[in-house]
Amino acid sequence: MSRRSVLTVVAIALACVLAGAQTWAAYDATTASRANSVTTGTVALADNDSGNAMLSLSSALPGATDTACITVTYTGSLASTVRLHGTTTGSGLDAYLDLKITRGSFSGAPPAFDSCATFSPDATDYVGSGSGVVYNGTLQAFPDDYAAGRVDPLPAGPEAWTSGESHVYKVQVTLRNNASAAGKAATQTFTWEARNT
Amino acid sequence: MGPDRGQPRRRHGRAGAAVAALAVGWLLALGLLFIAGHRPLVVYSASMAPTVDSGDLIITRAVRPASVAVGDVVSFHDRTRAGRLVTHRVTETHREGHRIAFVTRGDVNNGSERWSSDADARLGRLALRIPLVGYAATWLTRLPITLGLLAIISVSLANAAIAARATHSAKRVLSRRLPAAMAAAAAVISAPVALGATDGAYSAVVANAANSFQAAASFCNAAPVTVTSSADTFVDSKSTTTNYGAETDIGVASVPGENMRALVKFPLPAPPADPSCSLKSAVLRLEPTMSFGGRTLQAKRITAGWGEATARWVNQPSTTDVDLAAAPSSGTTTVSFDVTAQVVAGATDGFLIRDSVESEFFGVQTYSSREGAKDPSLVLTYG
Repeated sequence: MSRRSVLTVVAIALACVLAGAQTWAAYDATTASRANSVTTGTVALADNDSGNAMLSLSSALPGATDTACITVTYTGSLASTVRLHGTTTGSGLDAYLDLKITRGSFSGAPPAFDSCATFSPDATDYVGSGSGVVYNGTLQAFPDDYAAGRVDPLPAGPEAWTSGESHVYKVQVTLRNNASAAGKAATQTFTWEARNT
Repeated sequence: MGPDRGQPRRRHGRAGAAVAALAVGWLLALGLLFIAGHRPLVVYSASMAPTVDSGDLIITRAVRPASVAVGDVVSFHDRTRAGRLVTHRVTETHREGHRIAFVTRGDVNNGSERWSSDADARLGRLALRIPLVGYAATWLTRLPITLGLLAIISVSLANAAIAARATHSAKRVLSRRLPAAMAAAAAVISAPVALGATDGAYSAVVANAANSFQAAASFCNAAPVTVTSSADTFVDSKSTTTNYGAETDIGVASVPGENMRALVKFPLPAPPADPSCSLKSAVLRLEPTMSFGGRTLQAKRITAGWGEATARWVNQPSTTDVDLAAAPSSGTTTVSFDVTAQVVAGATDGFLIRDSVESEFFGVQTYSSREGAKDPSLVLTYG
């Protein structure tokens, strides 16, 4: 092999190295390259409840209902998916409470927490229960953890939440007409959890 | 061979030996790590900063889940992140049958992962952290870089062979250089295979807590029902065969030789149709027409039939002391007996009212009968 041939082979090898460097740079420029790039950034959520519970039923009779709206805002820098879940304690009333969660926005100036004045649901019928509804079932069947959590929103989701993105959730509970519920109680924590995509 | 060509050749020989030594050392280190149950991982996120940061190379040791304690940093496959390998700190752990349950969280996260592992499985526990080395490893293990390094090794080997052919010693040179080249190639190929990746795993939660729901103690909305007596009279131990069914008063007396006892019966209504309703209370009320107070009266459940127009001292019905109710007599206000238990037991034959201690020197107390101004009544409350 001539000296020129050797130089040609070396040039090809160098081209490969440079191409590799360029590919690496391109990989780092996109969040889709998770498996091959170092991820830096933040995932953060905020809400407007100031630590106050949004729902309450006391000495409730069948048909009693309470409705509240909460605004959840994504403040992280990495695109994330959000799931809804929650934990329940009490003496079993969750089996007799119907829960409906509707995603939407305020059409005008945001009212004070937990008012739903000017609430407007998303146009999409996510789960076949009406515009904007992301969960419609008993409180007992509401997912307990992230693994089983309700992807926000389904079935269109998972949506990638980006920094500054904000959604309003209208949460409604209604007591079923079932004598077995009498005297029972439940305490619920509603959780929105974001994980980077 | 002149001195002007021998110098570079010796330098090439020394470089080749160094590369070979480096490659063999790398392969040896990898082999020992794997034999000892360790695995090198490149860290791709800062969710555990500053304990473990982006670009670090960490060495994890395979351990049984039961040996993992709260505070340990472990690598596990997170099914909520498509099974990717995640390295986070254990915040809770407990046994669930043959599985070990964990709650883990990245130090910068406020969201946790809940997962479990078979007790016989193995988890990676953080053993050693080498800062920043992961960045180099990330770059070196790219496929184009790997191919490029292999190309350079091949070219070096070919170049040596070409140079040697000129001196008719190619075979000898190849036999000397080939092992070093193969070791270097093996090292280059082994790097992307041996170096695992632990992934970016940031999370955050917001929660609205303490939403409290309390159902009423009863869903029954049936109104209280008041019934008045359908039969009432009294019997007198002094006039044992006299019937007083038509009197406008019923008497209760504790006098030696003349005790009086009142008999009162109510038409008990059917329970409410609402299945959530049950009897919560039954109160027998007598309105005094002449009473002195200061005595305790008893209401006993009658267990046999009797008639308002036929009842006398001699044929007064039998009673039971089970669930006996007592109430103080009053000069002017209504006397109320709690006869709930008696109604539940079945008080279709009514009640017998008597002084709790008979045959004492005490006068007669009278209460209005249904023929009088204020009927005896029974107030039934449901809940």
